[in-house]
Amino acid sequence: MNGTRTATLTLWVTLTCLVGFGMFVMKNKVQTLEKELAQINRNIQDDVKTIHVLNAEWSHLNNPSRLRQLASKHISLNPVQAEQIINYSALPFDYESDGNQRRMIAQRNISKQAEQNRLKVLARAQR
Amino acid sequence: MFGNLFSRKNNDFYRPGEEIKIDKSFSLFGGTYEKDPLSMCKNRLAFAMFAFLFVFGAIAVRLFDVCILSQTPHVQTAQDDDEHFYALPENPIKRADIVDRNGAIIATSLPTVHLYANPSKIINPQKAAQKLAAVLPDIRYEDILKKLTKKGSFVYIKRNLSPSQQYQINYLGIPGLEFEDSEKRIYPHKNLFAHLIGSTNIDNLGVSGMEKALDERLRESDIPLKLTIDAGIQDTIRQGLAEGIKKFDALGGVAILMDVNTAEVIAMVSLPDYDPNNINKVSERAMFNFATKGVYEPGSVLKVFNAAFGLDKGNIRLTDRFDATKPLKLKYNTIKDYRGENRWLTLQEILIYSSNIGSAQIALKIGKEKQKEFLKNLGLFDEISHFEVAEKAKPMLPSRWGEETTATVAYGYGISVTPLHIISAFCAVVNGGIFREPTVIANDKNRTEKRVMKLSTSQKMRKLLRGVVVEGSGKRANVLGYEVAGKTGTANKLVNGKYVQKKVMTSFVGTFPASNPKYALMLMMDEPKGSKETWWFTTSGWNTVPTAGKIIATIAPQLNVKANYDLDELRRNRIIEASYER
Repeated sequence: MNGTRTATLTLWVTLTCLVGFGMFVMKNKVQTLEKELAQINRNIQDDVKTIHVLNAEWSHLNNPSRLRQLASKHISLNPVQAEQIINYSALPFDYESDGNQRRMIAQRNISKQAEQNRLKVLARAQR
Repeated sequence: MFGNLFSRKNNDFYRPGEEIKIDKSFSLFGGTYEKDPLSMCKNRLAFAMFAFLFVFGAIAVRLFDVCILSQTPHVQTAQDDDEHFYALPENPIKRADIVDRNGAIIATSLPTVHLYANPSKIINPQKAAQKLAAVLPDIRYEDILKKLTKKGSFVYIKRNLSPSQQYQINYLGIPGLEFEDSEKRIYPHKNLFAHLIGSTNIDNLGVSGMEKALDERLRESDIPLKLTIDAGIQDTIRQGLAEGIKKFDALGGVAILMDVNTAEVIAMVSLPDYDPNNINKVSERAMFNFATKGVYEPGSVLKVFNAAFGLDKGNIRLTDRFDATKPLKLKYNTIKDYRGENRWLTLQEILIYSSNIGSAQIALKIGKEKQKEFLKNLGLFDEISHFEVAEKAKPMLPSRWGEETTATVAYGYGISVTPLHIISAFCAVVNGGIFREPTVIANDKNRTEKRVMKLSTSQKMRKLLRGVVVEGSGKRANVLGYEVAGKTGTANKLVNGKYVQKKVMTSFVGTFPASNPKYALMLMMDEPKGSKETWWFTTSGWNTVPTAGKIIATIAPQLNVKANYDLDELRRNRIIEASYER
C-alpha cells in the first residue's frame, strides 16, 4: 500500500518536473526564435530602406538630361535621323550568308547603279 | 466586534490530555462551531481536488474546442497563404512609388528621421540647446532654446535629419530628445515631371498634381503606381520645347504627346516649371499647369473639328467649294481672313489657307444644334474629370450660343479649352473616330470610349491634315519619312476683354504617321515674339511648327515609328556606301 503510494507520488513528481523542464526549454527556444525573427525583420526593413535609397539614386543617375549631358561629352552620337533607317527591301543587293561576298555584291550593285545613273544624266544632258 | 470573530475560546477546564489537542473549534457571529480535525483534512483535500478538476476540465474543454471543433485555424502562419507572409514585417516606406512605363522611378520616398523634444523632460535646456546647435548648424541656438523651454510635451526640433546628424545627436545622450521614423518624398528627375506629378507637403500628403489626385491610392498600397509616361520621351520633348520657348522668347509653353489609339498620355510638359523637391519661392506662373488647367481660345486649331463636323454631319464632299471672295457679313460683325485668298475654296484649301470665312460657312450651313452636339461629343464642353491630375479646368463657353457664336467657334474663337481637351479630341478625329478619355495610368480600364464620327470622316481628315503640313502653314513640321499631319492655330490674346494684336497664343496639333496615325503631339506657346529669323511674324507656322518638327524628328525613332520615304537612288546609294566605309 505504502509502496504504491510512493511510486505514484514519485511518478507524478517526475512527470511534473519533466513537463516543467520541457516547458522551460520550449519557452526558451521560442524566445530565442522570436528574438531572431525580430532581428531578421529589422534587417529586412533596413534592407528595404536601403533598396529604396539605392533605387532613388539609380533613378537620379539615370536622369535623361544627365545621360544626355554625359553622352554629348563622351560619345559623339547624334539622335537618329529618319534617313538613317532604311528598309531591307530598298537595299540594292540580294542576301548572301557570307559577309564578305555580301559586301562585294553590294559594292558591285552600287557601282553598277551609279554607272547607270551617270549614263542617264549624260543622256538627259545630251537631249 | 471583529476581535472576537475568530478568537480562540479560552477553556478554563481541560479534560486529561485535552490541553495538548489542537482545538479547531471557533466561534463565528456569536455561535461556536466545533471542528473535527479529520473532517477538516478531508474537506481540504476535496476542495483541492475539485479545484484541480475544474482547471483541468477547463483545459480539456478548450483543447477539445481547439483540436476537434474548430477546423479553421485562428492564427495564420506563413504556410497558410503563399502570397501573404504574415511573418514579414511591414514595408517601412508607406507611400507608394510612381514609376514610368518602363519602370523608371519618377517619385519615391526615402526613410528619414525627425528630431523632436519633450521639453518637460529636459533637465538643462540651455546646455541641451548649446550642444544641439553645434550639431545642427542650420538652426540658431536661440530658436532651439525657445523650442526647448516651451510648455508641453512635444515639439519638433528638426525634420529630415541626415544619418550622421542622427548619430551625433544620439551620442550627445540628452534625455528628452527623441527620434521619429518618417519618410520624405523625393523626385529624382527634378523639374521634368513637376506639373504632372505635383508634390507633397511635410506630412507626406499630396498637395498638387497626381500626388493629390491619387493621394488615397498612394497611401493605401505600397505597390508602385505605373504610368503611361515615358521619361526619355518626356525629357526630349521638354528639352525641345524649352529650346523653342527660349528661341522665340515666349512666356511659356505646353507640349503633350498622346498615343492616338489608346489616349494614353506619353509625355506632358508645361513650362515654366519648378523643382518639386524645393517648392519654396516658386512663382505663381511656374506653379501653374497650363496643360490641364490653362484655358485659352485655341484659334484655327478648332478648324480641324469644324472640318470633321462638316464632313460627318453636313455631307460636305471634298470637291465642294465655298465662297471666300469677300468677308462674311453677319448681323453684328464681319468675318475676315488673315491673308485671304479671295476666291472659292475647297475644304482642303480652307484648311491649308486657314480660311475663317470658309469654316464659318460650313458651320452655319449645318446649324448650331448639331455643332454643339458634335463638339460636346468630342469632350470640348466638359471638364476632363477622369484625368488623374488635381489641377483641371472647365472649358469656358459663351452664355448664349447664337449664329455669331456658331460662326466664331468654327474658326476657334468664342470657346476656351485646355490643351488637353484639344489633343484628346484631335485623337478622336485621326484615330478612326473613337473618343477616349485621356489617362496617365497604365492599364486604366474604367474609361469611357465612344464613336463620335464615321471611320470614313476620320480617314478623309488624315488626308486633309497631311495636306496642311505638305502645302500649308504646317510645312516646317514636315519631317522626312514620318508623314506628319496637323493644323496650326494662332489666336490673339484677350487682355481686359479686348483682343490684342501683338500678343498671341500659337498652337500646333499634329499626328504621325498620317497613313496610320500612332501618336499625336500638341504644342502651344504663350506670347512668342517675332525675330529677324521669322521675318517678325508671330504666327504659329513660324514658332510652334518648327519646334514641333524638331521634336517629332527626335522622338519618332525613339518611339519606333517606321520611317517611310523615297530617297532618290543616288542619295540612297551614297548612304549605303558610307555605311560600309565605317
